[in-house]
Amino acid sequence: MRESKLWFMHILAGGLLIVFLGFHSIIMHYDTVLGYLGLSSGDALDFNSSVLPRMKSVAHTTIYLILLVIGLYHGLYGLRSMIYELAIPRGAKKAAGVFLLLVGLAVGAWGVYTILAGHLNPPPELTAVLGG
Amino acid sequence: MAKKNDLGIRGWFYAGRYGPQRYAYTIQRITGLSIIVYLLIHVFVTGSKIFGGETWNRVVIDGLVGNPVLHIGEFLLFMAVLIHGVNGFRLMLVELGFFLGKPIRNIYPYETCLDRNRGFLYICGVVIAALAAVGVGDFFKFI
Repeated sequence: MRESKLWFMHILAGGLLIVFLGFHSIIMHYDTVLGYLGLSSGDALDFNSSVLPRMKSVAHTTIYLILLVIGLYHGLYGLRSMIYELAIPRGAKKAAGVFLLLVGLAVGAWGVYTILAGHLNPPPELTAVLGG
Repeated sequence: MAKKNDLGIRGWFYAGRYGPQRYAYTIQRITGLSIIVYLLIHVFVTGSKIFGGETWNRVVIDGLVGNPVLHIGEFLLFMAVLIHGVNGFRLMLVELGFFLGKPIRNIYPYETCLDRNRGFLYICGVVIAALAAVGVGDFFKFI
């Protein structure tokens, strides 16, 4: 793919991240403020009252999948751009690019698995399957 | 011929005559690097939820939230996301041609688009400071 298209996708992912990561940050880190507005659902990290309902929610599952894909793309492409600006051999740049692509695919695959497994088969059912 | 980037990583910190925007660029890179490192770890930490509430409490609640050093680290990460996001929004608008002003004749004293969109940088700084103040209150429960 042409570099200009990859760069445009990087900017587009950045714009989407502002919306989705902003939403995620407000839920996770502005719970006191949300409480004042009457929107808080309690402790965002409590497993039974918050984490489990988020896992079961279609909206949250969708947002997490979008966040994961665009976050990994934006972050790893940004890191690749920084490496490409350095005065190092072209082969080393390409190797770094391929390495980052593999890291993105591996972390992305695990992330998608945990998000979907958590949504489709939430614990304790999943715990029994995985033996955790 | 294009000039080689001989300064390497040191080039990120050398503002030269570019001024505040260049420091914003350096901060954007540092915050970006810290966020991507965190994201890679975050995927595995939050993935512990699929093993049930007991594992979640051991990994996240006892291991991370209960640790005061990591709580401060979490706040620094929140700040990094805030700065990277607001400054990234500014960069996106500038990239798309906003706040650059109309083309003018190159007459001394020279004015560049950097001079013209510097005000927008300062506005973004104020937005970051305001949201950070609310975040400080929420994190450390002052409000």
